[in-house]
Amino acid sequence: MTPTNEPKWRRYLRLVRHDPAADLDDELRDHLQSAIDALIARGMTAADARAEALRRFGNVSRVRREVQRLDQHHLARANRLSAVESVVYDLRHAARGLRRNPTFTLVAAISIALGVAANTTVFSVVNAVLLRPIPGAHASNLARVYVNHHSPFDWRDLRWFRDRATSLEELVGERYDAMSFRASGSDEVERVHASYVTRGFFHALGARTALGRTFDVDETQRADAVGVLGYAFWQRRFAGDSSVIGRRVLLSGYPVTIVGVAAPDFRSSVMMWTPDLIVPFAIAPQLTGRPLDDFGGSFYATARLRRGVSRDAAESELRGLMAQLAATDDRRYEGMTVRLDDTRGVNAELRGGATAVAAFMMAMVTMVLLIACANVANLLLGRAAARRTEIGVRMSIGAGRGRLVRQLLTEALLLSAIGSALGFAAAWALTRVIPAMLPAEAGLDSAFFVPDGRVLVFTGVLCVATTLAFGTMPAFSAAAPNVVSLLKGDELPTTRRRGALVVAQTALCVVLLSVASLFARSLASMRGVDPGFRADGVVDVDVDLSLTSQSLDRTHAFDGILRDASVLPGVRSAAWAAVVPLSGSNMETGVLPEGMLATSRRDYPSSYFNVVGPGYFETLRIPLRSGREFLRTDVAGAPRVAVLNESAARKLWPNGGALGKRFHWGGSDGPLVEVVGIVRDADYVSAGETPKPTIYMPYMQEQRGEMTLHLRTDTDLPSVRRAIRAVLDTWAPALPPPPVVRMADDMAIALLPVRAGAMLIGAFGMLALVLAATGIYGVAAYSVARRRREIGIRAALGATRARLIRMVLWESGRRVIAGAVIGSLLTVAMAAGLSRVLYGVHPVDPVMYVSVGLVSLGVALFAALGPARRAAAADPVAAMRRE
Amino acid sequence: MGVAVADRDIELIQGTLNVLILRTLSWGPMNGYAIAQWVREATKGDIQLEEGALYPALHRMEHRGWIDAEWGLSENNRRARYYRLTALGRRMLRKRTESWERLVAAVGAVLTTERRPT
Repeated sequence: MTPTNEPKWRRYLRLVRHDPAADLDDELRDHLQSAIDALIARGMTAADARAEALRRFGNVSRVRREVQRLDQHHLARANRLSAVESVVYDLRHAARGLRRNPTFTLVAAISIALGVAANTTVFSVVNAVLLRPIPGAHASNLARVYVNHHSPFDWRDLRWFRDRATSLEELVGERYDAMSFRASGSDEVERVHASYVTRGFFHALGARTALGRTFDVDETQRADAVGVLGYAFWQRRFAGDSSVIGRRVLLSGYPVTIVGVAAPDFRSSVMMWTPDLIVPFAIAPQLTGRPLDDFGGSFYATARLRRGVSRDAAESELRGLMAQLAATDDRRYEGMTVRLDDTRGVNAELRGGATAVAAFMMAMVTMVLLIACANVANLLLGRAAARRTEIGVRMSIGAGRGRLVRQLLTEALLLSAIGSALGFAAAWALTRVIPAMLPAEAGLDSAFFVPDGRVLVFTGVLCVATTLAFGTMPAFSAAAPNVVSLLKGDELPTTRRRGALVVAQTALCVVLLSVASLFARSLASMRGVDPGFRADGVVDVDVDLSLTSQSLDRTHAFDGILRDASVLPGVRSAAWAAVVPLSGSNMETGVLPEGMLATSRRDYPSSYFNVVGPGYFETLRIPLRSGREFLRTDVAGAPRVAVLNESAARKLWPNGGALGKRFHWGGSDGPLVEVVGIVRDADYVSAGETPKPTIYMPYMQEQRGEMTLHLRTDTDLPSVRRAIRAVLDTWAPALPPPPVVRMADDMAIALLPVRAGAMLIGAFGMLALVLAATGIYGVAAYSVARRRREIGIRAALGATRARLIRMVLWESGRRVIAGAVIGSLLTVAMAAGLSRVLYGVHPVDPVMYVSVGLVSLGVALFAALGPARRAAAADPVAAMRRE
Repeated sequence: MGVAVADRDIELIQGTLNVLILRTLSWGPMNGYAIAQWVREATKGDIQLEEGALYPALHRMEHRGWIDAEWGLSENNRRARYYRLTALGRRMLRKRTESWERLVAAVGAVLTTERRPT
């Protein structure tokens, strides 16, 4: 740099605006000019002096660059520090503000906590059911394998793929079955959920045990009957006793040795929960008396990919293998596809329904949170109004608007963080309670739904989103630009905004309440619906003859029990059935009308079926439409017969005339069965379902080990229990006392999910109502306080008490009415989506909207009544003087 | 840092420039030019600073809080930056001086010893 004579005015400019680069120039210029001056004073010419000064100084531009770099570095560091300092300052300031106003803080934090708790709890469940992958050491290499989008494998196909797929380290299958279970030395028989697993199952999943060992049994070997207990079942049934290892239990009457207990985090590869007992598929023939190849398409497959093989590569190999199968003569494989999927949550077959429910529930709790946000925004607006003088002062002494907004948002964030922390803690506690409310058979341990890292992240995001939702508007409106009016104590333009919040809150609240009441009514009509059979007055006795000695002639025993039970005192009729309708289990198979040509497996009509005995339709009061019931003469060896419900008859023979026709049972090579009767449709899988084609087969021709005896009787349960005990002692001496329950109770389980859902949504609706009422109260109270003077004048001018109360109530009322109308319209707009999940209720139901609207209005007026009465009671003179 | 030593056999150890500046400022506030002059006179020309090297050192010490700077007017009415020692700077000077003296004494003892080590 060469020293020049700069214009003098620039120096004064520097005093106003800090300019580091120019400052440095000034500093260096002073140095050089001083040096030149000194040299000239010693007698040098100006040119020599300048040259000498520059020589002594060295490289000017390098020095300048170096110093600039140092200064910039320092400045950046200082800025960073001051940013941290100002955040810390804001937080301190916010904390002080919240402490100073504990009522406000408490109400706001609890509002947020309620909303966050509801959201976090629901998300924890969604996480466990839909998002969490199968745990275990190999989790990242696992993939579920489906046939035809989301169907399980046939055992033979699974083995075929397993032997050929080179991109897979392992391919394992799991099949769920309900079985009877009896611990040695115990009389108590219970039904457990067991899983058959194929070779290498535990190894493929990388599953560990809590106790003992796992097993790895090849299906080609004759295997020892061993089993691994699920952790929750072990806790529940054996109280966590470690001596259970090596003990023998009877599974479907067959002795199985317990070799291990699965680790607490072990989950079924199909479902999200833990089976009670896991046994090798290799022992299925011993347990069931049927060969392995008899097990149809019910193995849910999981693959462990070879290291370095991508899912796409593995999938394309499996597709190639499937193409080989399709090219064979076997028509089963025509059009069949194979697909790899991730291992998150439940398997794909259940995921569609679960996702819909999850989305619905999340929408509901989001609304609850929004109502809570509106509440807090309301409180903040009121607070901003109260603090307007403070804010005015701060702005007048130079606090920027942005700075104030940031500070108010910091306060909102702190509030939200406190509320979210409380909400998360509440959700933690709630999620530990959920498994206890579900049936123990679900096999869930108490930690199942407990929030993990993913849920924590969700809550964190929720906290920030909540802050923005309730904090933004109050922050900007509080830091209003007009300093003078703030200082004078003029009104903030918040009243209209707060009114809008009440409208929004009421609208959301009405949506929630409407949906809740629709669900409640849907549940009621489900319970009231005619299932097609009469369950009242029927007692069910579960008899599992596989628990007794193998040598027993089961058909003979079932016949005998039925004969003796029918003549017990009070029993009017009795019948056997393999499956109790609406109890949660069902059976399905393919059938082929005689003479119909099946070109591929997909052309087989499939039908639900049940195996029942003589007297079944009479006992359950299912009307016979034509033909006959089963008779004692429909025994093994006699011509095979079946009874169809009307839907099955229509499906198999669309042109009618089903009576007397024959069909192949189970497939084209199955035995021919003649239709001897047609009965009315009855619910089978779920209450109020569209009638399912159902075929009834006589148990005498279709052997079962476990059946339920339906007894239509006038006597009470204990007498039935005693009487049936004596009958069973005659026909099946070694049998433990069987479960005896009312059929109606059995069916209640089928309604459990709907009932739980209705309860939950009802709870959300109540929560919304309470939150909205708080908000309405807050706004009414604030508005009354603000209009104290006006009300005083009105009172002084002779307005009656009743008139004043009416005036205040109307102010809240008109907003609530507006909100209710908007909420109703929103619900109607959602109606299309709702009608799919509702039963017997039309979503556009005027009675419901009117009643929900009235409830909201009633609660709102009640909330506004306190402030209104206070307004009317105020002394007009005092009210006017106080201003 | 460009500390040139003219014609002599003295090598300046890193950080020595800082001590020189701190010592100079201990007499009172000065601008960069005055510091350079003072060092030149005090060392009688034995240490000839490349004067530009002062400035990175000055700014660095200012960032560290050893010295303070403020704007003033130099003799010729130019805007000049005056540096002053802070309390921290005074402490640093004392510490550096002590360790410098210890170093000089130790090196001196070695260089002036008569006896050959056994």
